[in-house]
Amino acid sequence: MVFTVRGDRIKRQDNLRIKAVIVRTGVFWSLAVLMIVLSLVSDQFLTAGNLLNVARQVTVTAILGIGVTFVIIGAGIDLSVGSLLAVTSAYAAGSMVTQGSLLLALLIAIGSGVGFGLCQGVLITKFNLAPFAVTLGGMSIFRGMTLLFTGGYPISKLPENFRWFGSGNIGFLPAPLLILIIVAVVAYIILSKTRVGRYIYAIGSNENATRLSGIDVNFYRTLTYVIAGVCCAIAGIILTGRVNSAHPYAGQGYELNAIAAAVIGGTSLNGGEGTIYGTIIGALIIGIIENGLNLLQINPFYQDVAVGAVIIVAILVDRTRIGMQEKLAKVATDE
Amino acid sequence: MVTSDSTQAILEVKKATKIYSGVTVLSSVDFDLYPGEVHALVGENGAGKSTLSKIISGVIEKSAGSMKCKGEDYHPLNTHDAIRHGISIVHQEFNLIPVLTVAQNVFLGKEKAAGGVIDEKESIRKTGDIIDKFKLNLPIKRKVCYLSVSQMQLVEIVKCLCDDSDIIIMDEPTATLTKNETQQLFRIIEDLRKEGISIIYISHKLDEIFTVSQRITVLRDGEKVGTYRTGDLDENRLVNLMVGREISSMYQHENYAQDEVVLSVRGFTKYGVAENISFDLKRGEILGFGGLVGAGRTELMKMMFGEIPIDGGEVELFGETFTRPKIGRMVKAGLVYLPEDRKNEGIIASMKVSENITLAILRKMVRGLFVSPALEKSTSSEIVQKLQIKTQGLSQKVGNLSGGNQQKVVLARWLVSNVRVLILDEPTRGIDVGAKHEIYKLMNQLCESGISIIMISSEMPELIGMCDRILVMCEGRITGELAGDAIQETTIMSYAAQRGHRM
Repeated sequence: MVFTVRGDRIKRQDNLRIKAVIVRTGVFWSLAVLMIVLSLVSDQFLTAGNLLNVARQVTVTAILGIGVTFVIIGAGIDLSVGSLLAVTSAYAAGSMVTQGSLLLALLIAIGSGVGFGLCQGVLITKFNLAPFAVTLGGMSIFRGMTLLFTGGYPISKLPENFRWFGSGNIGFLPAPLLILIIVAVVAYIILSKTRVGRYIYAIGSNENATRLSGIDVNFYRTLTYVIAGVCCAIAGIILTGRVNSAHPYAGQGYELNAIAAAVIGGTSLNGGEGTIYGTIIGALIIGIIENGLNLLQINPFYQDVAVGAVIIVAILVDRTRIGMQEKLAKVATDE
Repeated sequence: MVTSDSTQAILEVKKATKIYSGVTVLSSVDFDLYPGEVHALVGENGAGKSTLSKIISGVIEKSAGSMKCKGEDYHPLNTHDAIRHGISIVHQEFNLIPVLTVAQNVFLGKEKAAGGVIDEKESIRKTGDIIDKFKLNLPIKRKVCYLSVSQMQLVEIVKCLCDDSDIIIMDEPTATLTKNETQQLFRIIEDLRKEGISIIYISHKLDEIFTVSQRITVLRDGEKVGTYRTGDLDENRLVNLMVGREISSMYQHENYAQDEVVLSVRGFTKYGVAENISFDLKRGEILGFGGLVGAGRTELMKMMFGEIPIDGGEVELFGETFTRPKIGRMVKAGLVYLPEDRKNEGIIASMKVSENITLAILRKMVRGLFVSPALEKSTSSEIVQKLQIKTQGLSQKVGNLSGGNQQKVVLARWLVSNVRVLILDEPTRGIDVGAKHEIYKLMNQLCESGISIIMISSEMPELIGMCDRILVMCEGRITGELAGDAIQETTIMSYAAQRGHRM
């Protein structure tokens, strides 16, 4: 009797597991279906030119999304990434135009990304403030600082070497795509192969247990905001290079696309769960929906509706997944 | 009030079976209940107690079998239907609205209203009647959030009585109660029984079962082992019935304490929490901390561990003095804390067994820049085997393990580190008898190998059975110290209740 009970239980767990895997990889299948459908209804979709164009556009969302993924896995949220992108790229472009040194401009971008991320992280951890509130404030402050710095006018006439990050090519590969690949690989390695990544997952899943295991929770939580800041700076350089100007309203609303990419890609807003490849697929889904609606000459206002709907569907799928996990747990513990 | 065959059973369950998509979790179980009887339902985790009680209370539907309530066929469609038949359940977790008053909670969902306006007086009057009848200590008009845990439980019971229930199922009712509160609950149960109300009592605590019940039904692996008159059993026999194997004796503790003092706390103070605490711990010793819930024991441990900042005092650990303990440094020095609240402070549910085990020593698992999966695997599989943690593999999520195995995983996390002083806070709460026994055995092994243990426990037999020495706390102060033959339950209780006195 005992053995049949246990045997059946394992069988049932296996069934549930297979279902859970399908749901978990659902985002990948949705991307595949989306691409197949678009290639059937539009003969322009599956052309190298169009796909590279999509890739170029998606990089900014994807890199911001990667930064936000770190924060959300650590059970935080960062609403400031759009403004942070603007302020870091304005500083970089300003320095580029006045000083003429590419290296200095890049250092200023990354440095200010680190600095602002650190400020937000410290406020959140040391003073125990809600990440939502701090980064909401940051969103407004950084935008204001951008406007102050630029006087409200775009900084343009950037030299060729700076523009390369947004519009250059290496062979047939657009430079931004190459940068995204590097960022993604580094982020993946940090999250899944290093102590830092393990601790971020642990904190997001159970902060108390992690702290009681002797881990400096505040340090690693702050680090997620610093990583997000660096990603903003990188995304900002790409965007500025592509449009050949640092616009004071650059990146406005991008925080939502970045968070959407993470959430569509399976990052749990409760923290503790999420992957880099999920976020990239999420960014691709958003980019391809926008591209598809363009190709099909559908009113662009539908884009926002479509992206919003995808976010809600993604969260719905996430719910189902959590439900399945709980079921699995129940079967495992018998009652 | 032992049941006689002449009275008719108020509830009869015949061959109750529950199959969850192919898995039989309850197999042909018979159960009956007589008026004015407390019938205990015992078994290890997963034995089927909760399933049976859920079937009776209409939470889930049985797959096969029949039930009769008061002589009539009984097929509850849902909990409301069960309540209509006079059967309610008091869950381990309360379903109360904190911002509403006692009376408002009792009448939630069944408020008497005149013209859309709730007739509060009617609710208060009726709630008051029940409270008076059973002489309960419950302020009717107070908001539930200001009540003690035991009072909240009374509200749940009053809710059942207000529904005219004559069968009440209590699932681990004393899990969060202190000894005194438990005694109060037993008095109330006795009063209920005298009124002819029948109670199905589910608990892990065997001493309570012997105090409160008239009959005991033992379940094991979804099957019924038997129903016994409480008087015909003793604790050892009951444990053996539950586990299905001989557990010769729960605690077989030998004193491994050596003379060397490894930890000494001096003048530890956190105003309003614990004041002027001093004690020593010897190598290989098990030092128990007794007292009531809220006496400041957990807080004291968290102060030593660096989780709660202290206002004064110092702790000396292996010759190193800490005036401001920090968790990371304490862990490095060999002091670790196994929290009481396993779910919120112990396990990381969404992470793998191996990841949970290596969390505190991840630094040592790094080769080059990266965490070495091979090293993690070998480290964790060794300890999983040693502690006999039942998992389906090292990559199973810890949230999916049973309570006892989760506790072992948290223990494993510390045992792989260089632990020298282990603080255990309620280490066996909510885990079944078999796992408890294994944890006690492990504690003995650890002491023998020279590790010192501090154990907080609210379970007297465990405290008395396992500890070489016991400190009793009350209201943030140490009120008594007991060792050897002086360790007696009554003495511990009297020290624990020594309010306002200093040593």
